[in-house]
Amino acid sequence: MDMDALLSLFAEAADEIGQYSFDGLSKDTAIAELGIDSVELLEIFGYVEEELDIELDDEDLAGLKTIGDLGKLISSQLDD
Amino acid sequence: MQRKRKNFGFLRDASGPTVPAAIEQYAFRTEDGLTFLKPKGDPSFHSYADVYAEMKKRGKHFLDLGLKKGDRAAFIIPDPEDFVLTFFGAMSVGVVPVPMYPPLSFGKLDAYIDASAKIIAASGARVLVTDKKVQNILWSLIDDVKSLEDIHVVEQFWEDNDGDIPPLDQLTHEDVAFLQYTSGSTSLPKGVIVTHGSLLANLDGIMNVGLRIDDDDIAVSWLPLYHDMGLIGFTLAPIWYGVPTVYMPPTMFIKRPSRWMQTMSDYGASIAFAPNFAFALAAKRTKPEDVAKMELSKVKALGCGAEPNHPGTLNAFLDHFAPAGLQRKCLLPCYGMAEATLAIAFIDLEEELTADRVNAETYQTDKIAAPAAEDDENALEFVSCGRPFPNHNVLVVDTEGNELPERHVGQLVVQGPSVTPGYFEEPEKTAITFKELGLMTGDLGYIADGEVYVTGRMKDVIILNGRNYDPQSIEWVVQDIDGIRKGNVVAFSIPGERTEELVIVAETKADVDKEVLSKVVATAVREALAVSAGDVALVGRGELPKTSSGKLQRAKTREQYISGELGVEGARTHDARTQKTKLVKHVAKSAVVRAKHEVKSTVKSKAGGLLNKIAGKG
Repeated sequence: MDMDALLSLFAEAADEIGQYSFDGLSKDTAIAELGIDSVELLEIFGYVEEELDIELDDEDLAGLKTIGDLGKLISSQLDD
Repeated sequence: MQRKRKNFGFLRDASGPTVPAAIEQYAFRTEDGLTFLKPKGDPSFHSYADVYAEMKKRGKHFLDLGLKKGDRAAFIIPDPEDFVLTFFGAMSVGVVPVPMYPPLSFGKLDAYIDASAKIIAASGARVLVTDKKVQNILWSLIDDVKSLEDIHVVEQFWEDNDGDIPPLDQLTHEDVAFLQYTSGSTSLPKGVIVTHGSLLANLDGIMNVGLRIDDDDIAVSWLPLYHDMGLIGFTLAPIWYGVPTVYMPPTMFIKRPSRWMQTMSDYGASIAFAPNFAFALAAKRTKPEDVAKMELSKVKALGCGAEPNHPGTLNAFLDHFAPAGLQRKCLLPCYGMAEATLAIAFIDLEEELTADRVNAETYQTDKIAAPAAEDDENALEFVSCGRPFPNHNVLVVDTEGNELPERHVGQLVVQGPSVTPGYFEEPEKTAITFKELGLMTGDLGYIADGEVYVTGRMKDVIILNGRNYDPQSIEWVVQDIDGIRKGNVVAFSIPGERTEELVIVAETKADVDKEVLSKVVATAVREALAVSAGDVALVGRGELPKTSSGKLQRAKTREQYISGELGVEGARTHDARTQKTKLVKHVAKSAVVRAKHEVKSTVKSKAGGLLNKIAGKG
């Protein structure tokens, strides 16, 4: 999917779920370095899934390193 | 008023049958049973007939592994379907399951492995049952835990066998059904011994009295199965009573909280339980247009426990789902703890949520919960947890153990057959908590008109100028302030110059002016509760210490605050890199130990084969 759209959706989800406000997210931003706890991270992924009406595997999600990786995972689902 | 479900002629009460024997009685039911929802794909369904067959098959596998009645088996099984069926299997042959939480993510692995090793060692488990994926990080436990002989993957319990196990009536009320380890935040974990007797006494209270189960009931649960509420409330209670149950993995709920009530609606379910936070999450994340399409009028009991119940949260939930036909009386605050098996008191099914309004002044200074005047704007509100089950009793005692009259606040003490024998192989800790008078709960509360009100935990109470405050009452005020991260507030006291001093630590959004926000917090607390904060410490996201399940740790926050370490752990950038290295390290170590172990077992089994041959058995 379009990276800018994903970045803004991720930021929206993070704000909605945990009142996180992230500036300067990019496709290379490491998810683990955002300091989000694991339960909230799952909620954020859930929010993104719901907005895009897709379903991602918990295991695939656990293996994600960057927001760019999330983009790739989502694209591979949308292509299916 | 006690009513017994006809249950195809099978009675269920504190005298029995045990859970495995109950499953056997239902073996003829091929139409209804347990449904396991999957994140992807179709649900998996097991009729009671099938559950019975699976129980015997998996029980036989335990016997084939050389385990005997009374041996402990640690369970780290993330999939609810395998967890439930394997749990019944172990129980059926008297093997004692020790349910443990699975790794939530690959963060904090060191702490996870360390905590798991402590629980397995304390339980003396001979084997650990896990799954193919998770085993990859767990094999190092074989080296770290003396009692642990082997690790088995749950997939091997799928294999068919003759299911030939000893008669189920060999299980007695005195036999241990399972060990429930409670997660102490700083102390070592303690394993509550749940016997078949205490379990049956509790199931009787929950199903016959609390929920008055009838033939139409259907239960839905996303609760983790390694905790008492999910394990006893939704694994053991429904199967014992033959209530069809729908399970969803906890992550399904966390990712899409709307699915909880959607599933209740889809299955026409009547019963579910959850802690307070889940009601907040469900209301916030279920869209009104989706609520409009739901049908929740069959819901008769939504139990809420395990956390202090916030009247505002629960009422907001009821309002949010009212358009789907959800009745206000279905919300069922309850009180209990693992040491008393699970539940002690429920409000009556026909009663609506009641909040007792209490005069703040007399509560804080005299520890008396006197009813507040109607126009008292500063009144405190506590949710009733209802009456104790028959044959059970809740007393309130002062610090010397003297019983207090109604509406006096003190420690809650529980008496009755649901109280467990104590902690496994911990006579000293058992003696402190399990006294002749009853189970010393460590919870503070009071009784009014025979109903139990829980106000907080003894160890968390904040005493300021001789007045008592529950940390939640302060935290709830602060978390609603704009700029504060909801649910990420901790209040405690530290020794001050003249009296104890209140400290509030809260996580904030990134873009706030901390100086201004501190003042807003202090003002809000002063206005709501008339107390002054000695310090308001605002920290960044993720800097408050939390347990593996995401719960705030008050004692640890206080410790870090005093020692000046608060927020130091929050150097996440560095931390995140080391986590990756740690994962690699654990997988590698696990693989090495596993390889060593397999060489040993092969040698052993070859030797065993040889011996058998010599003895003419092979």
